[in-house]
Amino acid sequence: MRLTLALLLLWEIAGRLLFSAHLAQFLPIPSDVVAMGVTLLRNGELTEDVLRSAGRVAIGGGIGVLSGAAAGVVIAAGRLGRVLDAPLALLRPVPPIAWIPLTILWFGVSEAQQLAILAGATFHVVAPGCADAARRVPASLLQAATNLGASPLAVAGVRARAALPRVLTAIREGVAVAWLVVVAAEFVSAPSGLGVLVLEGRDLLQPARTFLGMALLASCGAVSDAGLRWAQQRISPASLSPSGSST
Amino acid sequence: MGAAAYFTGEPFTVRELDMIRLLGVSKSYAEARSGARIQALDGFDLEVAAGEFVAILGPSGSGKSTVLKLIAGFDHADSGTVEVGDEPVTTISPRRVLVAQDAALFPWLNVVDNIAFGLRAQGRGHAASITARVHDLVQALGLAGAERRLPSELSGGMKQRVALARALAVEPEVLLLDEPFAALDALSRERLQDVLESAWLTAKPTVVLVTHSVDEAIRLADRVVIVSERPARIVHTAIVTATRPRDIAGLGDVRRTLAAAVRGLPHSASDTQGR
Repeated sequence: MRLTLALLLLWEIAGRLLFSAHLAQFLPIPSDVVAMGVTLLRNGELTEDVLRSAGRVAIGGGIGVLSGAAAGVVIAAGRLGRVLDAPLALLRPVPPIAWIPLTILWFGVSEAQQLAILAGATFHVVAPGCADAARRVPASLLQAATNLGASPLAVAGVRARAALPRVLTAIREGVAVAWLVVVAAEFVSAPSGLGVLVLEGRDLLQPARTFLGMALLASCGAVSDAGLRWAQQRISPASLSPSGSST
Repeated sequence: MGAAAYFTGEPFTVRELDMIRLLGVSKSYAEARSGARIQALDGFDLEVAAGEFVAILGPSGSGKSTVLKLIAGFDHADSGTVEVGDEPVTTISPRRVLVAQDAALFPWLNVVDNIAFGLRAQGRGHAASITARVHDLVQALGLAGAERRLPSELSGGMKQRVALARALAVEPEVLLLDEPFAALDALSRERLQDVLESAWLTAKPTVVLVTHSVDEAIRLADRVVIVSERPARIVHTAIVTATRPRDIAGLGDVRRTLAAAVRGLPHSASDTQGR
């Protein structure tokens, strides 16, 4: 953190010393970015952009997480699952962003299209992660539960609880991807959002907007990940390595 | 071996009060990598009386674990019959609980909740009686003070105590132990053997203990069944009559004789650790 602040300070000082109107068009100094932020906050644009993007990630990502978790469970469960796994595996190498034109064809330029891309991108990550989590539950644990008299439903509950730490990791990865993808989705066809803010920097020749957008995207991503990490820590303190990855 | 133990002639049959009966049991597995068929049991017979403590002693990999899995219902024999209490074993049941080398504790539950798992899962008794039962087991197995700890905060010996307590909590008729103390240091092992013996003397379930330790077998069992390498076959049966609690140091003759029996097993060019 301190290193980041030091670098920002260096950037600010260097920018002021080497001031040139020409350079300012390409590389705004931190205080310019902050000033732009204050301006946009005052006129309400910033709030709208942040809420739009966050909303898309929450809803689109949420749909992707829920459907991905369900699919993961089905895939891991058995024969039906193995049938589903093959077509999904074929689609896996296709980057989510490549689906944008197709979703515009299907959903038109609309909020639904934005959500579809995000849902698909999150599903793309969460489904195999959840399937893997379910598969990795040690058989000895499930056998012990059955042996001690647990009903099949209770044993399924044991499997779910045992898989939970890894499932949360998959969700974290899914949400991280959602933040990456929302920018591209917004670039193509959204009226407002942080991705739009980034784009406006070019359109309006105000690079401060771009930097502001990027900084906010990074912050939002960090906040959502921190929240999920906290949940993961509450669920199973022993299963997180110091770096926060699930063991 | 003097008065402390003696070999019986083969086959040793227990007719009355038979709790567990395996007759002509054969079981083979496909080996994980090569897919080759491994014959774990071939025409295996075993009978155990109710309340008896039987140790199955033999070299590693001989198929001893398979016997326990079949009795517990975790797997099915290819041929032959496996009966417990005059009924064929078809399902897994809390009346026949298996405790493995890997304690398989539920990582998100603390000691008390792990022990209570079976009782709660079966809905046996109201909360107060379950708590009381768990408390008794915590005391009996020397887990006092660790009730709120998670499995990740427990040593190997503690985990096995919890696994044992969890099994005893559901009051099984048959207790199956698959080398439960093999991964522990000598001191923990001895302590847990004491714990197991006193728990058995209290509730008197039928116990089948699989072990590769001669000392453990002599220390705990009424009858020691020595099996050969895969496919496992009973080669010797020894009745241990020494009074309990048994002092291993004073049973050197028995120990030597049984260790020699294990070493002299057919096909046993492998590591016989008849310690």
